[in-house]
Amino acid sequence: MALLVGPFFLNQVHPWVLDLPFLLFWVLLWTTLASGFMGLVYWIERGGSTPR
Amino acid sequence: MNTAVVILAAVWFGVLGLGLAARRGRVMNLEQWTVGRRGFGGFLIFFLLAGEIYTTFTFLGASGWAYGYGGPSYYIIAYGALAYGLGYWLLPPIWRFARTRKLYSQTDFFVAKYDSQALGFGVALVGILAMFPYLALQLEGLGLIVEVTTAGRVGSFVAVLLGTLALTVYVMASGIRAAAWTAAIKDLVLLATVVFLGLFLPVHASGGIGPLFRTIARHHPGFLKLPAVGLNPVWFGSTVLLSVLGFYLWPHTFGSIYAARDEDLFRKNAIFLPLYQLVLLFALLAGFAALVILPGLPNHDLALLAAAAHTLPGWMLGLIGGAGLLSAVVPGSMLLLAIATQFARNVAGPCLPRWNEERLNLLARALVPFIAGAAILFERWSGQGIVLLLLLGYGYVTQLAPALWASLLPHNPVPRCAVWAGGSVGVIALTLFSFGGAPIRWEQRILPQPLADVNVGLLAFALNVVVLLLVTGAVRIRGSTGSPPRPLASRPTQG
Repeated sequence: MALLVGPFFLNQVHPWVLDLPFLLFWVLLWTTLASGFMGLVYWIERGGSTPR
Repeated sequence: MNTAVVILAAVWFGVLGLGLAARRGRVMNLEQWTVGRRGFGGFLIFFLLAGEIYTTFTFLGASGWAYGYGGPSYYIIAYGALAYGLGYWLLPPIWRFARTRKLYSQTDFFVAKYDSQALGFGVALVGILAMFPYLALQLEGLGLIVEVTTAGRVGSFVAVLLGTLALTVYVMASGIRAAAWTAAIKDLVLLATVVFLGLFLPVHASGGIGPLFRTIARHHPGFLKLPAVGLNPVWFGSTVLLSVLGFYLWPHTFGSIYAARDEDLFRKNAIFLPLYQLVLLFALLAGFAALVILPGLPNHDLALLAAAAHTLPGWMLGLIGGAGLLSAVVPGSMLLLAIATQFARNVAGPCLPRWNEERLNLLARALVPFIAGAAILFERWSGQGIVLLLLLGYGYVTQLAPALWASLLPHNPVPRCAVWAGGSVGVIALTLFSFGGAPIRWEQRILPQPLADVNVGLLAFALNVVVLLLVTGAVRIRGSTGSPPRPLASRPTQG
């Protein structure tokens, strides 16, 4: 939702974050978080055990 | 002969040699040729699935869009992250079903799920229709890369012919094994090239990434965000959604799912592939830097190469061209393989009931040069930009999504006739929207701004879903839901 709907509300260049326009930073942030979320889902589905 | 030509020639022979070497010690029967005997491990599956990221679309299309359109190019990073997350849940059931039924192509999946060779014929046609623009995209990129990096010494058409020859030979000889071997090398080479250009060109243009963006913001206000009309947030959201829905429905991607030896590979890859997507940022940075270095290029797709040619010595340009060549040949070979397999098994196959699996395999291999030739003609005829060709293909493959999802339900309520009706409406609507011109674009007249800028592929998909639901409802009211799926009628494997 952050990537699909976020640009409707955050379509702006300012503030600059990490020297990037804000909208680009937003997209990169959620792309990175997506990886973390999938790791978390995998960990939970494995019952909190170390991934095989 | 200049250095770039020598390097490109070396890459061309290297690709050909590696592709041919991939078959050594293996009997190329149907299962080996199309799905690598379903024995690929985590790394090969990673590179096959990530192949979507690093194609000529990445190399030229992403940087070209950053150069020409600015903010809308961010969609290229966004959709992959969502699609890989979807793959976590979507791919394991597809893999399990395909393994149980010993399926070879995407169409086989729909034939088995809906128990209909006729539906398989329709699905194969949609898949082939979608893959042709994608294959043309790779060839167009290949032509541009070679022409620019050799400073016109090797023309675009000659490059397309030579590149197509290489991938035709190695696909015929080694099938998916050739693609998998070269995919890993291609990704590593391309990764290094894109990261280098994404860091070097901004420094060369403005002294760094921050100064580059501030320069662009000063000279092109609003360029680094989405415009209010055209490629606006509605277009962005609908295009990301369309690309996510269609991501795994490319027949060549779908086919590579079958090659995995373990379903857990997909879940693990879903964790790491979004991070891999981040490398696309460097392609966008190269495109933005090109805007400062060489403003006013008529062909946006040339932005990255033209900026590299302007700033780097010939030998380095040759290396970049070599990486670009790989970025076209590897996905091109997967597409060729998928089109040939679908055509032989699911379009010609039903007309040849006496042919066994191995004869159909030979037919698929024999079709490869003809398909490659047709793709060259399409590339010459279409004349569309790289990103637009890709979006058109996405629009077509996404029309298969409702039937796929319904088929994965424990009790699929959707009958074959509803799949036919919805899919036909979606494909026809997309064709009319894309090629019918202004008189057909009714959505632009009836929808208020900014909704009128919705991606037409998603609009066609919505029509598809509505028709599919209406027909399903009508059939269920009449009390007939079609026969339950039966196992695929198998062909003999020995002549």
